[in-house]
Amino acid sequence: MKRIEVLAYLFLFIFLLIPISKAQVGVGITSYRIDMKGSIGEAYTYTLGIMNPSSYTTNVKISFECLDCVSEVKLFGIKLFEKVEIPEQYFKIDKNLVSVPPYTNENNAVPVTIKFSPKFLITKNLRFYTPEWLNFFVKLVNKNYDGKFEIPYLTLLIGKKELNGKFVADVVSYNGIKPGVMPSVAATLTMSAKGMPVGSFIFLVIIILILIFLVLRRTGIIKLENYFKKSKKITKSKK
Amino acid sequence: MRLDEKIGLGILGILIVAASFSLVSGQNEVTGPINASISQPICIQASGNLTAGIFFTNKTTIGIQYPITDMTVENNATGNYWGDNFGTVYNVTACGGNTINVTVYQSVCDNLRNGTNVINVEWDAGDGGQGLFFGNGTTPTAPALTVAQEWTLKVDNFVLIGYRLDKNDNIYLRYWLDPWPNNAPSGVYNTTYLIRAVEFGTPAGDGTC
Repeated sequence: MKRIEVLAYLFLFIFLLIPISKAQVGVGITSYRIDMKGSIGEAYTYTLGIMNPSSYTTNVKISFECLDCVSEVKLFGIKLFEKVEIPEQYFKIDKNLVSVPPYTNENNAVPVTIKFSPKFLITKNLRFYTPEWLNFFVKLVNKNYDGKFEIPYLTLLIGKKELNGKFVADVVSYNGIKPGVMPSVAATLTMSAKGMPVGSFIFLVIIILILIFLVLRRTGIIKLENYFKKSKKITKSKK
Repeated sequence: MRLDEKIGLGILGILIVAASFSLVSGQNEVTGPINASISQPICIQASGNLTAGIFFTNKTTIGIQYPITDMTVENNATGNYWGDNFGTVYNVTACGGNTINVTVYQSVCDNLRNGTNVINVEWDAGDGGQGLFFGNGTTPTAPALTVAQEWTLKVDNFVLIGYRLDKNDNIYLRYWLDPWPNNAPSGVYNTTYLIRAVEFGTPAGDGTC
């Protein structure tokens, strides 16, 4: 009897140790490539679908991974800081976590919308890295400090701006279980935003300068007549 | 104010206000033909055993997870030889609805951890080569162990595991762990993995989880 009990426990132990999951878990996006082109002052929407070929309900994390959002600014070959683009300044994904029912394909995929609306005035970040000797003192105040900080700044979208990256769907759980290996798919996302043409920008600057000049002249801060009179007097006295 | 000044100021003012409002607001919704609804899917499925996790056992056991006792050898994952004809039960399938070929990558979210104790997964030259090795192939029995740096997984960086998968194609995988450091304390060490499919010929993206 005791031997049977021991054997039963042994089998139970072995059974618990074996990973018992047999069903596949997967994820899909209804488009493998997303090309977004647009101009400032307009808004576009792109609707994609998240698919689930498996028999479980999955929770899928949606994100954008930028491949060329960080560029180095150097002076005489020495890196000063990094210029960081903020993709949300150009487009936004409406959901970052979706629940996808089992066996969803292209026809009944869970929709996710990207709203693309490039603006003339955009925010970017300057990222500075601090030396190790300074990090020690900063960490005394802020333990989570990771050796870098960012300063946002406003700039204008002049000319054309292109961003390349991946629209990513990661399975973070299936039937409420966190997977040991997370299946993930990524669609190629390219964005091309047309800002104000350089010529138009120069024209706008000239208009603003003229306007300022007219205002200053009207308010009497700049007196053109006096300037001409003075220059005439000077030329007469020279004669 | 002279008349010409008034007219000039008025025109300039209207131009600037109109331009600025239109450019900065950026909220003119465009509907109709610009809205895109495309269906060219990209999709994968990981086998159930792979999704459940990669559990390492000792060098000789199949299917059952025993504690690793020899830190100097390549220890098997439980599913390496657990399928039919001792084939692997770890595989990734490109969905039947795919209209493109896909490339599959894998990364490790972190080293294997037990509290503050760490077992490293990346390549190290000790023991004649150690780390978390993978093998791949197009049949369940094909993946073989190669003790070399290019056959180890990397933390937060993708490693190519399936070069080109057409729809319904499978890539079969096996894993081995030669843990380091060899004096890592006893305990249960965990981590998570990421397997990603992208359009063939395009970069995998960021390997962080």
